[in-house]
Amino acid sequence: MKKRKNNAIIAIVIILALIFAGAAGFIIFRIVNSAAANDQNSKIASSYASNIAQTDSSQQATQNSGSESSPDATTAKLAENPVNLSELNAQNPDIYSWIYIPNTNVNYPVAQSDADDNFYLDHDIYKGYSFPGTIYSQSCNKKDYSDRVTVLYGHNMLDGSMFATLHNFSDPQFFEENKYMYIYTENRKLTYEVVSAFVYDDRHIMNSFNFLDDAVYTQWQQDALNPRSVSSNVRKDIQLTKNDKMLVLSTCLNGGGDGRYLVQGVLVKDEPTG
Amino acid sequence: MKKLFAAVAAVVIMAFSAVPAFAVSVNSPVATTQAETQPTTSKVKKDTTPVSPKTGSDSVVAFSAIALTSVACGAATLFAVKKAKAKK
Repeated sequence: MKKRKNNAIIAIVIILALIFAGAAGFIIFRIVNSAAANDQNSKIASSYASNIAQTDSSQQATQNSGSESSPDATTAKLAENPVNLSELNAQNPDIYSWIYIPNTNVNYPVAQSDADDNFYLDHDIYKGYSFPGTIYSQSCNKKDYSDRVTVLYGHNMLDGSMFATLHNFSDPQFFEENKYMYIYTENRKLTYEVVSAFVYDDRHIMNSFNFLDDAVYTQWQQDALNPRSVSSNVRKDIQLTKNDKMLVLSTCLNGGGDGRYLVQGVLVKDEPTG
Repeated sequence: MKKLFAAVAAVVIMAFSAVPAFAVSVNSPVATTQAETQPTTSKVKKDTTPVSPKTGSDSVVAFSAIALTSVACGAATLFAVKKAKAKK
C-alpha cells in the first residue's frame, strides 16, 4: 500500500516535471524566436527604410517653421519617400505600405494576406512562423487607405517591439509631444495626426461597425474624441468630419485582460512621393 | 468503280454535313470543355469573429504552468523530505 502511494507521488512529480519542461521550452522558444524576429525587423528597416528618421526630422522642421503646407504646396513639391516598397513588394506582394511613428519603435512594413485575414498575426514578411508576426490589416480594409476607418494590428511585445510602444501614448506628455504618425505606400505619404489613445474593449472594430453609415461613423468619431476609458489622452483642438479618414492602431493591454489599446489618427495630409 | 464510290461517299458526307440535323457527330480525342474564367471573388479566409485579433504577448498559459508546476514540485519535495525525516 505504502509502495503504491510512493509510486503515485513519483508519477505525479514526473508529470509535473514534464509540464514544467514543456512550458519552459515553449517560453525559451518564444524568446529566441522573438529575438530573431527583432533582429530581422531591424535589418529590414535599415535595408529598406534607412533614412526614415532623417526624412521625418527634416519634415518636422519644415512643419515647425510655419511653412506647413497648403494642399497646393504639397502637390507642387513631391514628398520624399524613404521606403523602398517596390523591392519589398517584389519579395512578398502582401506588403503594401510602411508605418513609422517617431519616438517609438514602430517602424515596420505593413502586410495584408490574400489567403487568411490573420496570417500575419504570427508570420513574418517572409511568411515563416514568427511569434511577433507582422503589422497587418485585414481584407475588410482597402490597401490604399481610402476607407473611412483602417485598422492595423500589431503585437504588444514584452521586448518593446511591434506595437508595444504605442503604450507610450498613455503618457500625457508623450501624447502632447508626438502628434504625427506616417504611412508610406509606394507613391504616397500619408500623415495622420494622433487624435486619441485609450483602452477599448475587445470588439472587432470592422466587424462591429458599419462605417458606411454616416451616423455610425460620426458616433465612432465622437467616441474617439470622448473615450469612456479612464486612461485616455485626447487632442483637444481637433474637429472631425464625416469626410475624414481615420487610422486605428490596435494592440493588447499591458497587464493582460481582454481589452485593446487603441491609438487613433486622422489623415491630415496625403502627398504624392517622388 | 472505286473512284465512283469515293465520289458518292464524299457527296453524301457533304450533304449530311450541310444540314445540321444530319451532321455526323465526331468524337475528338481532344477534350473540349468550356473555358473557365477565374472566379472574381477572393478566397480569403475572412475573420468574421466579433472579437479583435489577440495581439498580446500571450505567454500567460506557459508562465502559469511553470508557476503551478514549481509550486506542486516544491510541495511534493517537502512532503518527501518530511516523510524521510519521520522515518528516521
